[in-house]
Amino acid sequence: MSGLTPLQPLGDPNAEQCIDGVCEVPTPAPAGEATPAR
Amino acid sequence: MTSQNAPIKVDIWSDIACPWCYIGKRKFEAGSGLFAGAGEDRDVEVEYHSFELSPDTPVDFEGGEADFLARHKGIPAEQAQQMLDRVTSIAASVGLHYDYDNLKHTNTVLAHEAAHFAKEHGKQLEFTERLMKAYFVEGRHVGRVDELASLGAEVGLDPEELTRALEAHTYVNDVREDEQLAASYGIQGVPFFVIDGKYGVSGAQDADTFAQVLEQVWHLRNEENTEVPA
Repeated sequence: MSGLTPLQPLGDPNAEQCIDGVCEVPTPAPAGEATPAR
Repeated sequence: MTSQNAPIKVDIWSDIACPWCYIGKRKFEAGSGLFAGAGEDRDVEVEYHSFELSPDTPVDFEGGEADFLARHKGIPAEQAQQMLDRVTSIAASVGLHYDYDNLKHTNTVLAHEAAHFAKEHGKQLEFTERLMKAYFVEGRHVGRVDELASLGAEVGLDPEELTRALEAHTYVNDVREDEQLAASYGIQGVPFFVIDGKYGVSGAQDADTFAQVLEQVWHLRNEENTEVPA
């Protein structure tokens, strides 16, 4: 299907999800560092 | 323009075998409850859509979830077990008691077909919950026709009619259409929530975040409806 309006992202972009069968939990970042991307 | 009083439509893409989808379902339900309790005219309509995380999974996989992650995804067994332990702990925090020791890892396309049968018969929400509980909590095999028919009967579906539909793959095209729509939206992971067809929320957000997002969309709707044309 084409012609869909791009979705406007809302919420926390780092919330847990499963991608390609892998559902890893983000590792908490040490103090002062950003949370690493999954 | 969307009617101010129409329910906010939330289309949810998820897989039965997705641990974050069941956790996200609980958190979304809590968040939409908070939103609904915040005032009048705050209704939410939910529709689930199919997404297969691992369509290459065999129906009868020999081994546990950690074995699957090690063999099919190349994740070291020890790391895979740690991942499962963490997700089990987080599931427990929302009242879900995942039992990975007894979980029957399987291909989920047939379960998605059954979910479309349930949708056509007005039982999608009940059956989606029943499927996820069966898979993550009860160790049921959701890749088999007889198990799906039994689960369907529990929510009021006709097991014989469901069996016939599954054996004929009557709803497999509905599964594919959902997956094509997900691809059109650019959805790569689940759970994924499309709100009013305009806003995208990815992952198992906290209940408060879901409530805030719904409130935000509700206010944006109101602004649209009160704008005076130039």
